[in-house]
Amino acid sequence: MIRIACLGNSHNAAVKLGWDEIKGTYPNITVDFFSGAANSMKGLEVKGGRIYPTSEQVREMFLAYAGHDSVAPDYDAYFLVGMGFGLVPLMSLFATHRPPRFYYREDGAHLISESLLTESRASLIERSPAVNCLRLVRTITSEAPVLMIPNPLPSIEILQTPAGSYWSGQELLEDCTEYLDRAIGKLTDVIYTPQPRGTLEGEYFTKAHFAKDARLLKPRWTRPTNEGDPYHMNAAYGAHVLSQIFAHIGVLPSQQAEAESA
Amino acid sequence: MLPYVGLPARQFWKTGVQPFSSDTIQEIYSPKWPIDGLRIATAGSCFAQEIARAMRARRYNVLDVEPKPPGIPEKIANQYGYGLYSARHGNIYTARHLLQLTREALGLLEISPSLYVLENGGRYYDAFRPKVEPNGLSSAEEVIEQRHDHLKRFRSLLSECDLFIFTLGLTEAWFHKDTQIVYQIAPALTSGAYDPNQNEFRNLRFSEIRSDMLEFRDLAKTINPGMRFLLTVSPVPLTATALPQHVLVSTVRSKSVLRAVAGELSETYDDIDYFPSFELLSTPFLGNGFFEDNKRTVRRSGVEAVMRSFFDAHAGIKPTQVELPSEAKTEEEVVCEDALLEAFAPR
Repeated sequence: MIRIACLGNSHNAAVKLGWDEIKGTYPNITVDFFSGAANSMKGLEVKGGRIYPTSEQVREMFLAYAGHDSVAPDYDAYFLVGMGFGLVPLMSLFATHRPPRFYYREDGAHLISESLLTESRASLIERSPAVNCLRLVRTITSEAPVLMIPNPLPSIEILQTPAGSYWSGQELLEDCTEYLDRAIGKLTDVIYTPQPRGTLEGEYFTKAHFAKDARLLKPRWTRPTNEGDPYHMNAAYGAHVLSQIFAHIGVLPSQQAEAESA
Repeated sequence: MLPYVGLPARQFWKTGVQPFSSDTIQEIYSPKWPIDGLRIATAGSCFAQEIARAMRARRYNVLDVEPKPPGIPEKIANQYGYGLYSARHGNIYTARHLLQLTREALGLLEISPSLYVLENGGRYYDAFRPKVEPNGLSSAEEVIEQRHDHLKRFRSLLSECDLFIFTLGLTEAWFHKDTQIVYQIAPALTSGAYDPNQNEFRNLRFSEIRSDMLEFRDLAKTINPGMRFLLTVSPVPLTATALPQHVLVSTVRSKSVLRAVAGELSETYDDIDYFPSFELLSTPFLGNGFFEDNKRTVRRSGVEAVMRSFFDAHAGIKPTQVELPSEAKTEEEVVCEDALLEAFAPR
């Protein structure tokens, strides 16, 4: 039996619901989901070789979905899902604040210096809950593989909303991608797994149908995302992500494994 | 019968002051009008940061027309001038500076960049708010563009707010000689060079400050006729005086003038109120336990006592029970440019 700890924020919902759909084909795997909303996974700490939440709200969610109030050091693999690492937080910064090279007086964004842009990006990415979780996991185990899955790219339908129109800015997208690539290059002791190709619409977006009927995890219940939320994905997306990761670590679905062994 | 017979206890020294300290005194402030639900702007000397912070902690609607970028920690944001006031102008120590900023924002005053773009070590700064970019900017053009953006936001603040809270801080100020443009602090503290041919020092007088505040009020009301004003006087003493006299004499002169202006305005105009934070902290009658050992920095407990008086007065009689955030700011975290002057004090 392979035991996996899947740590994440709201994006863990897609993975959890995807897992519910495909777990029958992976009888030799168990996954415990440790989730906290938004940036609350930044508030974790290591005590006695285990990772504990520092807030009661997150502790409740750990208990509700993983059945444990802390993350143990003896899992066979650790997945880090979303938690602010990805293109979306970097682009969201440009929705409201722009450095001189991307600033136009008419578009309403606040002008910031390159120096503050650097600080802001570091806060968003290098000090994201995902990177914090990676550090904590590496504190409790140096052996098990850790796989990082970024925040999903937004649904292509974001381009149809006035608030999301800045996602059509090719220069902004390229600038954020360059920064993200550099940040990924600086990660150590982790396997970075980009969003599955099969879910992509072009280079920077997710196919629209993966954002339909998405859910947010809450303690003891599951509720739909806000109408038209382009940032959260559904169970089908989660299943894609898991299939890709399992393949990456060499675990195949049971039918495929049987076929290959035959 | 004596006209004093039957007056409330607070009107007699024996019952209004003698039994109390700054944190127990009662009924020291009677607000002219309620502020619940108002859209509030805050500005002024560094003590005004405490007012903004306390009001935000109590969920008052303190406007922020220049919000920090997403994700950035508050401490770093503060270093870049975000979250201190309703706009990113840094500290405004004098009424003249507030008026000048307002005239600029309303397009009534155009200041040549040569008067405010400072260069130091290959980096460029805005002399009217030199600390909002701790590392400076890469070009003079960027300073100009940032100033343009800031003025646009400040103008929107003036049109949006219902209540403008201003803390009067100093009377001593530095000017550009020919144009009488006022700077935030002594020019040498930001550019590293002080030119006596270009800059001059002046200690603003009662009549000038009163006139500046009234002109500010008139201008603000041209775009926002319903705006009201709440004045306070910073209890923080001067770090240094440019006058050839003892700094304590300059401090008392400065604060007395500012207090008199605030009193004059609030007694004359229905839309101007005065909150006596200065009386609570800077007179000897309520104890002197609210300053740090340097006798200048107001202790956290002092700030809380002052703000409690303010909120209690606005809540009616019952004290409010809201806790301030646990991460109380240290002196270093309250951004005070005039503290730079201390670096020049004799060792």
